[in-house]
Amino acid sequence: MNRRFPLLWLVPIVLVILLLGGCASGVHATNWTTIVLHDGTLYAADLEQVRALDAETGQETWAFPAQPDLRQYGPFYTVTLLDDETLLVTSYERPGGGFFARSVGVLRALQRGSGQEVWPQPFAAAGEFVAPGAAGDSIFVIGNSDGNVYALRIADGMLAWTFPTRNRVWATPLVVSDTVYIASLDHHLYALDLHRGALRWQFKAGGAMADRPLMLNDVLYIGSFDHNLYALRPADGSEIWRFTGANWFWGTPAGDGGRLYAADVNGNVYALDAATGTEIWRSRVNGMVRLGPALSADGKRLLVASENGTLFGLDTADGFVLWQQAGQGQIGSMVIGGERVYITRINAPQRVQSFYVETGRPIWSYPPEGEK
Amino acid sequence: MWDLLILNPMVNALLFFYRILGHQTVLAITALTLVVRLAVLPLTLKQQQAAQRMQALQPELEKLQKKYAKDREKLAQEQMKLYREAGINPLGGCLPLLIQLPLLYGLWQAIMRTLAVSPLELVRLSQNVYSFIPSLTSLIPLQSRFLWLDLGQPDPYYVLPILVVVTSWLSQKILTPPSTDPRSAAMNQQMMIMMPLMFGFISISYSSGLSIYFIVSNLVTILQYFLTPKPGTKPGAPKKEQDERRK
Repeated sequence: MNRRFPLLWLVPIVLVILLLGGCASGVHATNWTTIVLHDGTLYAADLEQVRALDAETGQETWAFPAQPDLRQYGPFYTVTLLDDETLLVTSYERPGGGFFARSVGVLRALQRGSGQEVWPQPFAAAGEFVAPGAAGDSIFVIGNSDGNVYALRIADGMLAWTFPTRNRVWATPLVVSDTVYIASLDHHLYALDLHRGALRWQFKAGGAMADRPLMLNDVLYIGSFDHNLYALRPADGSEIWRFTGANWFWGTPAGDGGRLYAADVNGNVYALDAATGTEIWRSRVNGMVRLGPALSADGKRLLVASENGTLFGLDTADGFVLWQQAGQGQIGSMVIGGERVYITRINAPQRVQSFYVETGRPIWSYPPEGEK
Repeated sequence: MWDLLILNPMVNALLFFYRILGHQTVLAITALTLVVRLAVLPLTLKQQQAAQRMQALQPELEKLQKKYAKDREKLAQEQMKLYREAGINPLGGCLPLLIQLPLLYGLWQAIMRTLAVSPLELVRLSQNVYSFIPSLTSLIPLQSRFLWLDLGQPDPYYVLPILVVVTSWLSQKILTPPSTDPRSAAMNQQMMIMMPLMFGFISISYSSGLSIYFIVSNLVTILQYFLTPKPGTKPGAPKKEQDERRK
């Protein structure tokens, strides 16, 4: 051993450990954060905490946990509103927090009004809960990166059933009546019995499917990585039509009545005839688009978020880009409430923002500009 | 430009191997690692030869260092003269290394990108896959189950990290020439401990697919060493030339 520098060899190892241990300040996001709006309050998974914000002003009402504590909780990625009382939040935690600790997906129920935990024990799964779940008839369903679909009893968080798929489940389920529709990266869309988890039918696409299907006029619409957007019959999963885009379809399409709007990851935005899949117009925004477009309440504006952090407002009549708002950090999710749109961002100082749908004018940011 | 020239071809080559090798991710990673290592083989050999020839000159250089210890300018001149006479470019070992590094880094990045452990990584992968070959898109995401492993996650039983440390140490050991300079020898010894441990820590923290790449790459290095002629083992080798010159 070198006697002059006996511990010199430790220096790079310590540096690597610090680097890998994430000792740098803040959270390194591996997923997008989500937001829900209910009764004038926004509930946002904001990495270190879950926050309730006044939708009008952006003022924080409560946060869970009260202080960020990444050794015990988080990062928080998704939030699902169950009913008037309960929120379900997911995080990807390292129990024990040591270097050798393995991350697990954790699901907690919080009181909507106070942010207090409801279940005696959180529910944990081997993989990450990437997308929010969905509830129906006292059962909550959510997909996991371990390839399973989990169904829990809302009352106590006990497991009702699991359904295994052959790859990660990163999509939010759609619950309609007593059927759960959920896509897996194993290229299948599954229709499951809500109460027992039994398979009713499965549809195989040419590529993975990573988001929730849209149910419109009793037709299911879902995009796939095989560049196709599919229209399916909900009764048996048979195909009605398919539309081929320029690249992967990731996000859930939006629709109103006779029209369907979807965006591929190349930034192409399509308006289609929902009945036939015929293209009505095609527009393009700058940047990669992962998130499904959102339609304004009056159906006149289509909002598209790109992965480079820009929010676009398009005219639904012809796809013309009316406004765009650039911002720092990727847009995780967006929700429209009346004349406003609310978005979450990751890897950015401002993690929740509000804009006017009509003009794209900013209203507020959380935390406010200039505040950490 | 990086994506266009390095990353995209490697990502698509990995997908191609995955397709023709029965959707076996481990085989695909192994095949791509072998192909890239084969592509940079001439450079690796040049680098090895340059290092060996420099090593052979070490005694002569030490003599010069002692002789001209107080005249650095003269020392530099004599060293250059020695290199010229031996037909060695002192930077000859660096250039092949500089050319190889981007390719090897690209290979690392392609494996990480294609395994796409997190959603953020998977969405980025959409920009790397050639959309004009639709059959490649249908392969995503790669099958990540192999024996007890989820290739997108670190090995829960630490078998691969241990193998990474052992093979890294072995390859490091056989590639590091013995040095007559005590400072260099001490530094080499430190590196021999430090580098394998560093790769071990990376293996514990990152996906198992990356560990597979490290292991295959180290095994290639070891195999290559044993198949490469050593200096002094054949006529005309640098060491011999030096001995003759001295006579």
